[in-house]
Amino acid sequence: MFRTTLLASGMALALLAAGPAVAQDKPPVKIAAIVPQSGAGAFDGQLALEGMQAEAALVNAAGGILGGRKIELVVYDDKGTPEEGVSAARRAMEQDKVDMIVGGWFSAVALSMKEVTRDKIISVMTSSQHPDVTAKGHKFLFRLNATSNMMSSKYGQEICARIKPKSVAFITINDDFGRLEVDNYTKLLGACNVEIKGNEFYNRNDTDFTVALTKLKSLNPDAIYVSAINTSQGATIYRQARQAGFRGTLIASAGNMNPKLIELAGPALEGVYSISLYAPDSDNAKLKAWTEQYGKTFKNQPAFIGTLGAQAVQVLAAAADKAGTANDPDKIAAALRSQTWPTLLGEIKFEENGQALQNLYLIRVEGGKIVSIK
Amino acid sequence: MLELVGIDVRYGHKRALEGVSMRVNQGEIVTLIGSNGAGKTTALKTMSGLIRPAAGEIRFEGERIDRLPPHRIIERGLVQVPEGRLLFPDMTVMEHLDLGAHRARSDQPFSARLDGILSLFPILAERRAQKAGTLSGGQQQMLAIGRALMAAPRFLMLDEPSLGLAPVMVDLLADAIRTMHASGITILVVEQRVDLALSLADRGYVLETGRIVIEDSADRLLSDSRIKSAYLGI
Amino acid sequence: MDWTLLGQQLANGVVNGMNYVLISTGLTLVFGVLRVINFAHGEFYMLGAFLTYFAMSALGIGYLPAVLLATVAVGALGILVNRLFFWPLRKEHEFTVLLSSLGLALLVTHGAELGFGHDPKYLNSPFTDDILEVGTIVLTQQRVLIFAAAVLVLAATYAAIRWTTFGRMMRATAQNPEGAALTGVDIRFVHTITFVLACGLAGLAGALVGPVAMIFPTVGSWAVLKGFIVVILGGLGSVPGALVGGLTLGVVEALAGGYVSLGFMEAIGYAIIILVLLWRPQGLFGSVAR
Repeated sequence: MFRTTLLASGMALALLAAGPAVAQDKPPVKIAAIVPQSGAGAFDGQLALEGMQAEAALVNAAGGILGGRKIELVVYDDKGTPEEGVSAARRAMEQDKVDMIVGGWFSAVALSMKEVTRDKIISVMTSSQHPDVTAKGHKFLFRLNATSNMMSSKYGQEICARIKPKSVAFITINDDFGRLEVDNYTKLLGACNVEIKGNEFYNRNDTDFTVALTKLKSLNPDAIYVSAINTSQGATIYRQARQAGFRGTLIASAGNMNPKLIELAGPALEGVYSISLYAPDSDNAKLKAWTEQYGKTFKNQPAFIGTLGAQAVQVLAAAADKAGTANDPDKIAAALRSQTWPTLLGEIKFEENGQALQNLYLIRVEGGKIVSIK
Repeated sequence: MLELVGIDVRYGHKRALEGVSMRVNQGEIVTLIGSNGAGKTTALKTMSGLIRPAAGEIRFEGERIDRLPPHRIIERGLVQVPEGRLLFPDMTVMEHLDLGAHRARSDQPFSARLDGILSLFPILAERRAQKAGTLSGGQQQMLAIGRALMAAPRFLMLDEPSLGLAPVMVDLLADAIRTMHASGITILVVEQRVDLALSLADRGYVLETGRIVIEDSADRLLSDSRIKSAYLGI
Repeated sequence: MDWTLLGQQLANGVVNGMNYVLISTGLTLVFGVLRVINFAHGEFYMLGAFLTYFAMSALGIGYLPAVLLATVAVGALGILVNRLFFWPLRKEHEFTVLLSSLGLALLVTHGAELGFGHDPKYLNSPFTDDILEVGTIVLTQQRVLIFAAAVLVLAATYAAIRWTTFGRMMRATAQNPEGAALTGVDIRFVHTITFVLACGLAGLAGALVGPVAMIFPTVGSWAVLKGFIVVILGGLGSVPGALVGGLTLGVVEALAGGYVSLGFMEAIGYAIIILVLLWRPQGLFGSVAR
């Protein structure tokens, strides 16, 4: 009895050991996932990475790519800083010899990192919105997120046509992005006769916005446009706007609505508008599969930044398959530019400079859920 | 009452005290003589528990105290008036005396000890609400002694008490030491002014570069030619 | 001139300033008494907020009992921190101690990222969204609570330092550690209690201010930065200096943010420091003779 048990467990062990060996017959396709894992962007980085992991799991479960090769994500921490992003990209290319890179969640990181990867390796930049990421040619670089200009022109139309405030005031971050936002929307909303009442800049590390919100409230605008990329700052601003006694419409900056924000800002976020590439209530089958896979593995609510990570893995996998190679950047880049790709965020197409053209949805928080306004 | 046996003290690799042995009997006034850097202050700091000896033993009334923290040593009645007084410049005279009393183990009530000190140094009574930093040098020395006396010492160590004092003050200080001694306090005094120290003391030790080189009665030390030439300038 | 707006901004500034005072009092005490520049001070602010959060979610207790529990727990942590990180280094060079505190700060932050997660959390106080209108001035109950609790706790701390035997021990240790030891002050006990007090105050600040914004593991670096600005402004080691410095910073920030631009608010904080230090290099309340 004892002997048979021993024998059986020995065989089981041998089988277990053999399992990976079979899979390793074909080398994995290595994709570098360069995300912030520490510092202020750590939580966004975690959501992004989880999105990528869920998608990689789906691809691998369906047999992998290039005739059975699995996708292996090699993870690097860029700490949300350009220096660390550059060093991570170097390590990925030189030490770990990855096939492709996904990164660039913050514009500052993307702008530095692209100079290291320039013309060497397929790099997909994700959530960065700065126009310059794709402006200065780079034949192997692709960027998924809409640029701030693309978003604001679409959002501007939506605000004028569907939200229709008579007047608006801005609260924006004191950096290039914030200034660009103010310039864009002052022009766009001014064009449809929305009165611009004022703007307040805040700093990257601020935690109290009462002073600014008090001032904006005293200007008595119909709506306050809140530009906040950082979720915790955003949540604080929405709460403090209501605490300061502002009862008008709140408009969230494009691409910055997510479940965590709803959890943190609570009732203060009810009725707040935004615009997004991601409409959670869409009936896209790829999105449903990914959402299900994500829910099985992770406890967070799926977020926009996670869908971007997933989309990166999705298009890279499909393009590598089409090109028939994982490490010939010329062929993969040509494949990426060659067609429209069905993804979990709907169909996308890459322009010649690598910029993706994506669908944008006007969304709103209703009953604690993000819904798209049809 | 207090006994040092073979005390070694090191600062890093430097030896500050080497095999120092000495004793002070109950009721004595003993002085420790030596030039600058001989190790007198180090010896007193070691006895107060500020410095731990690398070797040797210190016994106070038969019990070892060389591993005790300073406040435990003070509780036993071994109290020091440090060189340079080490007062608290922003605290008042009364606050010093209050704080001095908090480790006292004495049958005498606080108020009696306070009265005793204020009659010994009447100027402190006048300045009781004044901050220590605003007192004159002599007044500061009186406060330092008063603070130590509040701890109800049975053994008092004075480190350079006359340093920087005017001659009148020095006489007053000598009187105070005699009064304290008369009240039953055993005294160990370290003094630059060797003539003054030997006129007060029963016995004396001479410390040179961390070692005791002479031990004798005060009278004989006063007439010792080595003392005369090295410390009395005669 | 809109007087209502001015009154509102002054009220905002005073409340924020009181928060700064709460953060910086512990920092200034630790420097004043122990001569330790504690870069990890902000981490106790962070821990105060998170412990309140977890006391509420895990133990199911209400906000105020959770604040009390977190304050006591963070204070008690001060004993351990002093024992492990500061007491053993008391005779080392100041720079060594400073590095030790920096190491502690990193340790606690990264520990919190692992233990609490990277994601920001909302500390739910029942007083956060309730508005209290005093005349034309709007304040949330939470802000009134912060102000009242800070006044109470700081008055108690100040009285204890001024008038109790332990307070005399602390001041004696601050002014002359060796003299204090020779007066029978148990230096180790003073170090321990000073840390307990400092950590407890930081923890209380975190627990009270947490609900006003969001909490996340790196929030301590914000707190310690504000703390240092106040302490440098008021004079290192001075408790009244922390009070005046904190309120000054709060009010100046509110007026600068309200009438110039919020974007300059931070810069203006540094500008005042430079001006004050040019005029009084020892800070507003620092004494020159140390």
